[in-house]
Amino acid sequence: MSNSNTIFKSENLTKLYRETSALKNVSITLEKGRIYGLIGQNGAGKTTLMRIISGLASPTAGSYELFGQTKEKGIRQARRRTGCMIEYPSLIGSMSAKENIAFHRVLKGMPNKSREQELLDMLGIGGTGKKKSKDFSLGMKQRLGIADALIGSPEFLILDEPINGLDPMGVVEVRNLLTDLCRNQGITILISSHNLPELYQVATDYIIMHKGEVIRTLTAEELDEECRQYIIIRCTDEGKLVNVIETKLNTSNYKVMPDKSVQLYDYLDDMDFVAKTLHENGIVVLGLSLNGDSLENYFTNLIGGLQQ
Amino acid sequence: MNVLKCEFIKLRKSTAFKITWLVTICFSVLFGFMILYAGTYSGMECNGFLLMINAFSNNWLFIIIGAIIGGLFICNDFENHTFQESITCGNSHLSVIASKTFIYTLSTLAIYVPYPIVSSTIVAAKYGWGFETAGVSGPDFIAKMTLFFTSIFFSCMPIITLFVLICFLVQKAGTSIAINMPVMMVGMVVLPMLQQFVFPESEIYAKIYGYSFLGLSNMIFGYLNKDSLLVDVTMQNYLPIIIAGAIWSILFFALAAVTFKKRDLK
Repeated sequence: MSNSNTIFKSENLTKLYRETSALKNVSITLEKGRIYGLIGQNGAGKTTLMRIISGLASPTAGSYELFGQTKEKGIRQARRRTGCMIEYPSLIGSMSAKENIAFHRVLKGMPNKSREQELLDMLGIGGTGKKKSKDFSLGMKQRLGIADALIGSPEFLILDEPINGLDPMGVVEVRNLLTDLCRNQGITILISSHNLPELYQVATDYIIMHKGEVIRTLTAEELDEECRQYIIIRCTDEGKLVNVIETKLNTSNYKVMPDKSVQLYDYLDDMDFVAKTLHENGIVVLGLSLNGDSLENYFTNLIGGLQQ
Repeated sequence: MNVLKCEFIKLRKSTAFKITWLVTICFSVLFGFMILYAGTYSGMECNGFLLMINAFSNNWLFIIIGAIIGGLFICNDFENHTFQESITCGNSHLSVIASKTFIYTLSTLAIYVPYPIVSSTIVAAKYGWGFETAGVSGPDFIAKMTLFFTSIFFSCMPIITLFVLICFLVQKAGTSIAINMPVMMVGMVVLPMLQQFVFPESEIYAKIYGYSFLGLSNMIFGYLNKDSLLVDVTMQNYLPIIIAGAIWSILFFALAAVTFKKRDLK
């Protein structure tokens, strides 16, 4: 039973396209007031998951609830509380930005016309006048798509690669906007992006997908913990190295990686001592350096480990 | 209701609709003056009412317009992702397709209706309306005209809803127009020619074709009396057309609605 803070919850959500599993037993919970970064390679299932949440696709198996609603009619009503931009912004090319946003406002049944210009100005496209949206650049279309998604004052925003095509200023503006929406208005945001450094600055939680499955979910704090600094040691005999670490350095705070390197989480301020100890005990060191995982490295290592 | 409001907004902004409407007006004026010049229509004495009734019942132009407009209006919404947006806003698939079908029918009518009215008005300016050839007057005339136009509507709706089904299956403007046009040709040209030249005596063929979704509109034309135009416009003749039209329309609409609901939207 989900609590009132649960915006979306899925259980064993599966989507098959012929014989391909786009989603496999995806069970996630999205809580109110969080920004969820959805991460995965191309074809991992991110967009499929977003399409199911927004009603553009139906699951083959499994169930989900949206704002506590589990029946089809209730879920449909609940979608009025969401705003989406999935893959491409939904724009009518023959209409200007103002006309497009007015159209989306009417579609969502929102009476407040003043919000149109407010959103266009917020997204930096308030001065486009009568220019038709088919003549917009990719970045301008993305901005208009985000504005359209926000016109309904949603409580849950689903954005598929929203910073795609944006200039650096636009990326910063969208980042600040999303952070502001979440922090000050309590809007829940599900955002997918391949720009992991950018996502790292925004997300409070991460959902990592690979080949249709959710392989890891973690909060930003947990990610920081897992991405903490370490000394990376490469040598010719990792078995001997491990022995030296445990017996001579007296620590078990290390990890052997798939590529046979060893990450040591102690003695970060005393690398000289580590180097000396290894040398004195006959370890032939090929590499010794101080590292910290970024979200990119974390993701790459996680996926790389699965593919081995 | 929101979906319907948005359909009206799109229609108002549609350049294709405005251009097609203008072209039809121009064609209607041209046609009217051609009949005026000829002085007769289908070998009969020319008057405005005769031309109007024949133009409404010989509705190939309505179907051509429907074939093209369907591809433009319906499939463009798939390409613009407007349908997708309507669904993500929490509208049901049924309300979206119903609104679209309603506006599509309305826009096709709006483009078509000027043709018989404009061309017959031009002819009536010289030859008069000729209401006496209708053979009826007073309340009977109104009832017959109501029955006639209702039958016209229900005889065309099967083809219109078939175009809706094709457009929702195909979802691409060019491809759907490319399919709609041959379907129209088969119904309006090929099958009547088969009836005329291959099965001229066959009552079974006449009945099957007549009550099929492709042949209903021709049935209307068959009941118009040369000497007294609306005398054979009776419930007995026209009610089966209305019922058959309604059944075909509901069937095609239901198929289109199920197709729309079952398929994932790209």
